Amino acid sequence: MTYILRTHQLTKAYRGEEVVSEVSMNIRHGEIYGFLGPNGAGKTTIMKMMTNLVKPTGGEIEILGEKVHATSYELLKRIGSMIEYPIFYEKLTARKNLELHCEYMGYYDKKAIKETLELVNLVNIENKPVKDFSLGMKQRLGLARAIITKPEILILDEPVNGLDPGGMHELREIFIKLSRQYGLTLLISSHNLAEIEQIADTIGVIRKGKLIKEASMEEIRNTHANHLELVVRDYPKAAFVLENKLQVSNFRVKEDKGIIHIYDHHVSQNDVIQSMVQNQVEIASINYKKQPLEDYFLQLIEGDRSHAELN
Amino acid sequence: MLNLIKLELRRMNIKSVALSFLLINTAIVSMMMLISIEPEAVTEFLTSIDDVQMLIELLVIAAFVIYAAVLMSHIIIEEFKNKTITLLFMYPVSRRKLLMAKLIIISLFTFFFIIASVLIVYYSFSVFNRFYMFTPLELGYTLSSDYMLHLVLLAVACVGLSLIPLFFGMRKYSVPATITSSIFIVALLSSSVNTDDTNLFSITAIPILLGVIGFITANLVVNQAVKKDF
Repeated sequence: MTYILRTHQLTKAYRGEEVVSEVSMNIRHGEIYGFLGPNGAGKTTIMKMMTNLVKPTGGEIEILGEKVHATSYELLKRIGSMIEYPIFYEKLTARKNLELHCEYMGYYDKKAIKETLELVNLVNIENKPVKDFSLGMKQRLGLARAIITKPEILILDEPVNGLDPGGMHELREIFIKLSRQYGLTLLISSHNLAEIEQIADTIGVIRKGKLIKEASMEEIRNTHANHLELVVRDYPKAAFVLENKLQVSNFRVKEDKGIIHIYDHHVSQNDVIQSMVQNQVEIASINYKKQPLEDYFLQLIEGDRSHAELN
Repeated sequence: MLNLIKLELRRMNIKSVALSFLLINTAIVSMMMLISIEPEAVTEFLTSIDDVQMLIELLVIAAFVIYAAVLMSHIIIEEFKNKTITLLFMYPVSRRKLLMAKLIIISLFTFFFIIASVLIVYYSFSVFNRFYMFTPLELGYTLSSDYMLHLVLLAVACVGLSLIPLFFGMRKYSVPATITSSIFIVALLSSSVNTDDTNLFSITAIPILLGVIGFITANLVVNQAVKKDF
């Protein structure tokens, strides 16, 4: 698969302080890239750099293999975006807002407005001024504006923020449709994993301006989600057995509780029970556990918090 | 560029601009007539055709320099304040061109409004003068080409100086600062220097100098906005 959008060592500093530092993201053609990080981690700044609102102080952005400059207008035409709170000319009607958008983007297709509004489920409101819209409607109109010119890349900053569960679900359906049916590449940021966990193909995690993890969802699910939880009294002996009799190395011991987490997928529950019994290690309980991804990401995002506290 | 100007105009409420233009003209004509009712004022301000023309120019310039600040607030300051400018800056168009389109609109409107209003007020006043005899002056219907040239120069200078408030307004994206500074400029220029009826406007070099400063200011403001992060 080819990369459609990449950043190389992208950096932005305000008065010497780096808010984004050396971020190298790789977004593949046609995927949904979930961009995860707490508030203030630098997600919006990165997205603004991609849409030419903020100029990087270091590194570069590459779209379809071409380096982006402040004047790469042809490349920018291929991006649709909705960044932060959706902004409109509030006094103008929804239709007029979209019309003007198309004109500025150099896109002339009169039918597009109606089709796009239908796609985002906004009907019979085109002639209402935007100031009468609710937040949910504005968000959907913002999405309509982002996709109306049929871009190849869609950059959405916290698109479901502030929506009710129904609205969130509806938007997620639209994202999936855009990705799977229309072949768009989506970059969606969020501070809440649950919002993008189900739809993202790849996840990038950012903390304090640094990209600390970039991996496919599949990979993350396989390596981190499932594990075997073994509770024993004599954990040093159990650990010894695991290492030497079963040749398992990928496990973690929580000493205070006598719990052992085994991440190795090659070893079955049966094998473990058998060898523990053979070596006279008393098992209190053993079962498969699914660690919610949420915990994993929390660990990532807040990883050095305990560290910081110690310092 | 032409396209950008057209798009900009589509977002503006042209009807209300036209209405303002008419109302301001009506107000100035009425003011001229009010002054003329008072014989003492006539002997002080309206002793010659030059006097009449200068008073008209002064009123028109005052009104439309301030109105330029109002337009500027609408299509520049408020866009920055409401962040709709970020929308425009995401488009595949250069920021400089986008802002220039806005400045050109304001400049053209101000230029056209000043020239048109001076003529409208002058002719209206001269027609009314024929009926009501405010002054014994004969206000002819033909204006010399010298006067027209003077008028055009004056209008260009006013376009320039009407851009000065942009500097004050853009510092904190403040509409009141924009309009207040324009009123301040007008007040400063129209104040009398001494007892006879000269004011800063009548010293030609001053409006022209301010005009040049205005154009430089506008350029500075545009340069800043082009570089800025949003």
